[in-house]
Amino acid sequence: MATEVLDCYGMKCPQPVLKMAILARKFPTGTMVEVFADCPQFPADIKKWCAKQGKVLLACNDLGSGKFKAQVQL
Amino acid sequence: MTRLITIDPITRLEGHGKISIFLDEGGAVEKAVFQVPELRGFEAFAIGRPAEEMPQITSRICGVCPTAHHLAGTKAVDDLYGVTPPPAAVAIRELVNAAFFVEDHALHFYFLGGPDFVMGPAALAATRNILGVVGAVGDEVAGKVIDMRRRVREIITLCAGKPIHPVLGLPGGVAKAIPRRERERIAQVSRDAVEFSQFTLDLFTKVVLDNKTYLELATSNTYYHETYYMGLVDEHNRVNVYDGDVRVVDPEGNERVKFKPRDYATYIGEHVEEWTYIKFPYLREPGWKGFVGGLQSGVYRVAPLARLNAAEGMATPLAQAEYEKMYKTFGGKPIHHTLANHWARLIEMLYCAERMVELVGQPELTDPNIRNTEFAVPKEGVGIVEAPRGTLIHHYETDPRGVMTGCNLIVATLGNSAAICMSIEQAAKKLITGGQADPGLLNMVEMAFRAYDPCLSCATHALPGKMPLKVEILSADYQLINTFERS
Repeated sequence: MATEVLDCYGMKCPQPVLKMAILARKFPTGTMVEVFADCPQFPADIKKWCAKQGKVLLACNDLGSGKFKAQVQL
Repeated sequence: MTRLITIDPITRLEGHGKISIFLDEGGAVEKAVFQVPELRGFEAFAIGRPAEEMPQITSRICGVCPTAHHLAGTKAVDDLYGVTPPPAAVAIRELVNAAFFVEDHALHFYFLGGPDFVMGPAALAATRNILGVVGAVGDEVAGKVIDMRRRVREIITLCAGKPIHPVLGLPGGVAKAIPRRERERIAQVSRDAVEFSQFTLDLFTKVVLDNKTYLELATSNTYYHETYYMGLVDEHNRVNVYDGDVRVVDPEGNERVKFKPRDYATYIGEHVEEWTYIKFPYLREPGWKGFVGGLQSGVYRVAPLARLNAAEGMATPLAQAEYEKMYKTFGGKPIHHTLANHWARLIEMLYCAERMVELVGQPELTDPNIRNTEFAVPKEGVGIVEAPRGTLIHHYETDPRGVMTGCNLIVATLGNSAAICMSIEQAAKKLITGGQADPGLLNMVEMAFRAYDPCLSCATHALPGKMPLKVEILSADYQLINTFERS
């Protein structure tokens, strides 16, 4: 299964999670999604969203310069 | 021979407007027209933007009531994404809206509407303004007004990031929690706002109610229309300026309809005239019958007096006492006298100050849980709040990505747009006789719209694809020679 990429650079929270919520309805369970974001609130937001929605947050890495990459399995 | 009297620009309001008064051969008023010649066009350029940006975009509609637009937009995106904000977020939003009402209603009373009464309707224009008011009431009172508005705006800044164009509302919540350490500071300002509102009501009593001439003017038929009234109410049909159902009462005070925000388009239609950029919302039942009042006309009114007419009371004790006093003075409900808006506005100021005190006492106000992120796929959302100038409706439609495909704004002043036209024509006909219109009389015509506290910069957003431009060529003696219309 291909990995989907969601570019959320420049978006303020909760925009990345909003985009994630829309994407999650579009792709089947098990799809891998990589989300790139640079809002400081993003790591906490994506963690909370995954916990509430029953998605698997595999990792949320700090890429430096205020950028983050989260890997989520839907 | 027709004579034309033009008041352009009209003054002490937000935005730009123009009044044209046409006199017949005998010098009596044949017709008066209230035109809004400016266009903002937000409904058009919202298309293509991410919906979650709308609370920020629409707050730029106006520097006077950005908070109301921001909150209506925020509630619309809540609805759009099917998300319910946690109690702390609701409390913070309501606190900000209540604080905004206090400072905005104070602005109207002391700066915009008040000079007509404090200085007198026919006073020289050079003194009929805030500086004249300061001279009349004294530096101590003026300082009190400025200080109170400043402190209330500091509370808005504390909660919403900025005193204007707030950065507070997000789909499902708010951007930041209120720290516990700030609770007492907010409480003190709120208590002082209650005292300030009572002080202002006392001043209103001394200046207006105890003045026989003003009271006769306010209760005369110069400023009188029997119309429908609209406002948000809570579950007990009391005034609520942040949330609730929309209640409409008929000219006899009976409930005509009560509906959820999502259903607004079922009950409200929008009429367009070619001579102005402003739209004229009306009740679909009984329908648009022109610029007339009465049970058979769909013209309705919004803003302070309409909210009080549409409700069965106030939710706070001091405001309720003032509410009862006002209706007793005018002889019962509903009040159709437009100038009673000034009194109703101050009663609302007191209500909002009391509501601030109540909200600051709620434990959830400082709860750090301020956002809910359980979002649904977006399609359509409606948000309604009360702005100081009336019921404010934001309606957004998006594609499945949340990108705006449709936007309809029924801005607060629009709710009064038909009634403002009627009020101006009525005042002009009553006041101008024999072709004589001195500046004092013309100001009394302006008082007919000023009571509504219109915000015309907010009110013009339709972009029908062509400019509804009409050029009239008049001769030196005001005879109409030719008319050109863009077709």
